[in-house]
Amino acid sequence: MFDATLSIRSGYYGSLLMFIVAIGIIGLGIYLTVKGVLKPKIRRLPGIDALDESIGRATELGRPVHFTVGIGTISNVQVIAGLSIAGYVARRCAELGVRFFFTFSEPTVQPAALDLIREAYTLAGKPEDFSPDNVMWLSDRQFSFATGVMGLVVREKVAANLLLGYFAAESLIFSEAGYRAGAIQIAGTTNSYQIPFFITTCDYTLISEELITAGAYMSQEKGQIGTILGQDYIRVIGLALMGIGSILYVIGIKTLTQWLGV
Amino acid sequence: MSVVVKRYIPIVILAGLALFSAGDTLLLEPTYNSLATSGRSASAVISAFAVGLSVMLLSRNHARRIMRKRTVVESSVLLICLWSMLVVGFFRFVVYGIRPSGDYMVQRLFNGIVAPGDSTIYAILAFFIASAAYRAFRARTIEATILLVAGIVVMLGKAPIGELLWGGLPDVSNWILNVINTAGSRVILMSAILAMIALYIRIILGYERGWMGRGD
Repeated sequence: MFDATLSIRSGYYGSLLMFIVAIGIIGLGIYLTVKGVLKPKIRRLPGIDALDESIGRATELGRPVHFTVGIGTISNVQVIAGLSIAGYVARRCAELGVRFFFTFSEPTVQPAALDLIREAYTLAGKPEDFSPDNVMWLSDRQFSFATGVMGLVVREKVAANLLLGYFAAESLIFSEAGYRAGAIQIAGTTNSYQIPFFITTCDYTLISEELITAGAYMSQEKGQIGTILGQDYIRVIGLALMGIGSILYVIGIKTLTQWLGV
Repeated sequence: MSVVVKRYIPIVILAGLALFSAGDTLLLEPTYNSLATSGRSASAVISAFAVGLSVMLLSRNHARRIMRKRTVVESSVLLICLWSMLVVGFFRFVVYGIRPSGDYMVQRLFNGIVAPGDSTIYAILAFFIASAAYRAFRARTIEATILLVAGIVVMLGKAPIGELLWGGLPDVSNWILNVINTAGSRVILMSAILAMIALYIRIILGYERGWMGRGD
């Protein structure tokens, strides 16, 4: 049976309230945007805007596009975000007749990636151009996978190297390989240890939330834009709470921090 | 397949499981928590099936490549050979009851091929870091100059020679890492967490469908 006393843990009520508030605010953001009450403007993301440029360059050069979501599983949000971008890139490549290579390290990504890319080719009206050989599970070992990607990028002389997903120590291997192949490179991850490597070696970098919101940004669907609006409202509330909490803590009032379980 | 099967059923299953998991983090109720733990174990089992599925898909691709006599079939032949080892081992175990005795061989394969290969590729990173740093640390703009100065200070602060040059360098280096760097990292972390919450809601509501292989 449910024991009410057990449910109270440190910061429980604060966490519960914040959870409900966060869900509620994002819901409100969706509602207001879908109903047309608010028309939020999203700042330009140069990395996403450059996707078409990179595919166009590949078309002109007659060289392929390589896309990887890195070493994350299908449950990783960065991989999910990467897949939503991959669908768009695959479709554009199919429309323009550019070869599209998709690589990943975790086998759980394969069924989703195959379906997504096959559907992208179908939507582009060229299902016959889809080749399962170009959707590659290279290895589930980090550096074996890195070696496979490095070989593919250099061997095929890719014109665009798109690194959008979850990356760890192999990130620099991918981007240096792309640099040496003379590819235009667009990278994105939330891993703060790998972002400096990408900024150093890539033409465009999607930093942290830019990667995760990219799918919504590209879709321009009102409901999706609404979630970004709600996310920004939560950010403002979070900043206010952090400021108030810091001041209260400094003057010796610890009620807020204890209530939130910080 | 109808749109209900392709789209709505997976979304309903996912939404139910997501709310169930959210409840697990908010409630401390033994039966509920135990069920949620079992659910997480089930996801590990499903992942194992995904490995099997991927192996099948991969093998099919390679078999097709061999049949079509595409170029670079060496990797395909290697894969089929490794597959045959698995099949023979499995057959010996099922029919003759001979337990897999390949531990020695597997260890030798791992220690002799895989581990040195991994180490080699990891070592290449040192050269790549040097090459990337050379390109990044050029004082072309104000930001690049700040990066260059901060990089030199941190590098010297962490090297023994830095302390010899000036005793305060390690403290400055630690201050840059613990204050400026940590502040920047936390901004990235917090913005990612907020974006993840929004993404989960998009997934639950069915706006984001990339995870089930459906873009549009």
